[in-house]
Amino acid sequence: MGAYIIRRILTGLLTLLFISFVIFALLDLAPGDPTANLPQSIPQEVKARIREALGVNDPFLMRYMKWGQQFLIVEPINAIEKTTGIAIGDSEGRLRITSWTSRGKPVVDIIIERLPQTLYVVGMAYLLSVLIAVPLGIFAGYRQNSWFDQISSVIAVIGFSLPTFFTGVLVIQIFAVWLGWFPTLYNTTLRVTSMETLFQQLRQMIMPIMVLAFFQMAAISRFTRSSVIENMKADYVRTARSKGLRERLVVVRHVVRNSLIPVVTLVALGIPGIFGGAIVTEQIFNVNGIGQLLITSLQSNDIPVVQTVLMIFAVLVVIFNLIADILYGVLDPRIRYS
Amino acid sequence: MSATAATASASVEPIFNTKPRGLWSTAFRRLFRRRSAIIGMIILAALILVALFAPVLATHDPVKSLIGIENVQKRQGPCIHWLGCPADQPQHYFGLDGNVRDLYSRILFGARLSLLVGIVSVGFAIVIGAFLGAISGYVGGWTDNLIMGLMDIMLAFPSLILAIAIVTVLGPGLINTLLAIGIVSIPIYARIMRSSVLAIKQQDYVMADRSIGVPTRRILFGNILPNALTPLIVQGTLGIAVAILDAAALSFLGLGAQPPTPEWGSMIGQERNQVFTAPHLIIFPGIALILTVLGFNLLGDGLRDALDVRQRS
Repeated sequence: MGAYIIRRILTGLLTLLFISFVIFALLDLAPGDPTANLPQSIPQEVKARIREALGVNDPFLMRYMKWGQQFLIVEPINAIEKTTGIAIGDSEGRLRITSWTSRGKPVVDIIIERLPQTLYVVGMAYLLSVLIAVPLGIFAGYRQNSWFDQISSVIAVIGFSLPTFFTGVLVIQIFAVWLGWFPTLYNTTLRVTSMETLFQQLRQMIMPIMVLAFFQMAAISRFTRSSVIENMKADYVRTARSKGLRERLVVVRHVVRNSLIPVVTLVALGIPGIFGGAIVTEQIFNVNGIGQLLITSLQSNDIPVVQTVLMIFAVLVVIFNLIADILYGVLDPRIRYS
Repeated sequence: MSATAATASASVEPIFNTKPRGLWSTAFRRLFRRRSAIIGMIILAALILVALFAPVLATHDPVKSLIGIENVQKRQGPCIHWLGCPADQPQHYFGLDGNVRDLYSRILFGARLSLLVGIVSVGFAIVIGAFLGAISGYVGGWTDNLIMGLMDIMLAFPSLILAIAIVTVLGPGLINTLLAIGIVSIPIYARIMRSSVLAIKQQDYVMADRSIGVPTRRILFGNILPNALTPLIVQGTLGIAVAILDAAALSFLGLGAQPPTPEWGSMIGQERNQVFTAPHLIIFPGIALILTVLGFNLLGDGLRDALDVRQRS
């Protein structure tokens, strides 16, 4: 198992290295001259530091190394400093990845401000969709071709086909405007300090969560269903039945347990994917998360922010792939020995 | 299956007198037996007709503003005469948009764009993906590792985020959206093709061909590609649905088709804040988009069941 995990981690690191190079190279090629059009609002000395941090006149590889150093060494050190309060070396003199808009604020600071919103909304939506979709899928698969199965199939196909940007707008119209249950605008300045603000926060998160969860549910429940159907036909299920095991035990211990192995990996693999959905959802509901940050930075040609956000997505993708691989190996011994 | 069993027992003619049925005719029979697949095909047939005859069916120019031409206001609701709209008002089936353009005509022309984006980007992805997958599976070794490693990295990324990254580099626009979505979809087809090649490569008839010295190219195109076609078709149909949704999402975000192009996603994106005052501007393009995507999803599901070799027999 140890060798298996180490091999996976090494592949993951190699992948990240490759992705970071691609992200840097692609955006380096992107139209838009780096420092010529910096907004007037950025002070002169910040501009000078941005140029220095980018290494404007350096060759390509040099710039990539600088960026890598800032992403991998400088920012983590700053993060440690901030959380622990211990000063490490010359904290003022280090060159950080700096946004080209937002008055030259360091990118990581902006992202740290935005990340919690995304994590709450995306995390809750995903949790909710897994909690609903897995039992639905198990039941639909267990009673294949029953009316329940057929209805859930129809709903799943429709769920695949609904664009979140359409359902989102409709949901706002129905639940916020007509019924008045939830606020129409997401209050981005809300700080959770008391029970009341917590309640407010939850209330404004319900709609984006609903929209995101519905889209995810379709895929997960379909997958669970087909996995259950496959296992229902397995020899060990027939054996369990023929030795007179109670139906409940057959289903819980043999069918569900085995069919959830691929589902667990799908759920782990799907976590980065839901951030893609979050981009659109955040845009509709005006949630100030990193998805919205990505889009606004793209529109204002703020390359450092775009690079960093994409790189964070890449890290998430690789980490969750790793988790999925390891989980698969833990849950299914057949995998790690092959 | 019960139907074939019934005809077999009812007819007295010897079994070798019945005409053999090929994969495709069996598949078509199966396809037409599924209600959802038929609904999907009807939706898509209607859609293709709309796309082909958009200039005939449209009542107005999809990109021309009617300011000063007709006595209408922007974002005016639908006006259909035989549904009780006063006859002295100009007729607009789906109402008007924020730039005083006829929404009905815009939606008809939007069908062209969505179909084009879906089919061209998936077609592009299938051609490149199948090529890469075939090389990967047939050659093997480090070529295989390199290609599939790259494909795995691409596959791990959420398609929309990857497409956004590509559009950032290429710049926004319809053609670039098409390209971005095409590139993003390559890995799925490469994987399918590779696993088909690996499975078929071991078959006796391929071994036989190789041993008598049939050129690799002819083995790939003559033996392997036809056998790998069914999973590619199924995935391609479902892939068109995803491609159309992603393209619309990009346009919604302002990264895809640019105004005044009548693209459904960008139509929703531009008017999304008007949902309170002019819901028709959101609902009609939304329904058009959902129907299109639903059509491809239903047909794809039906095709998967009809063509699935494991299920046959």
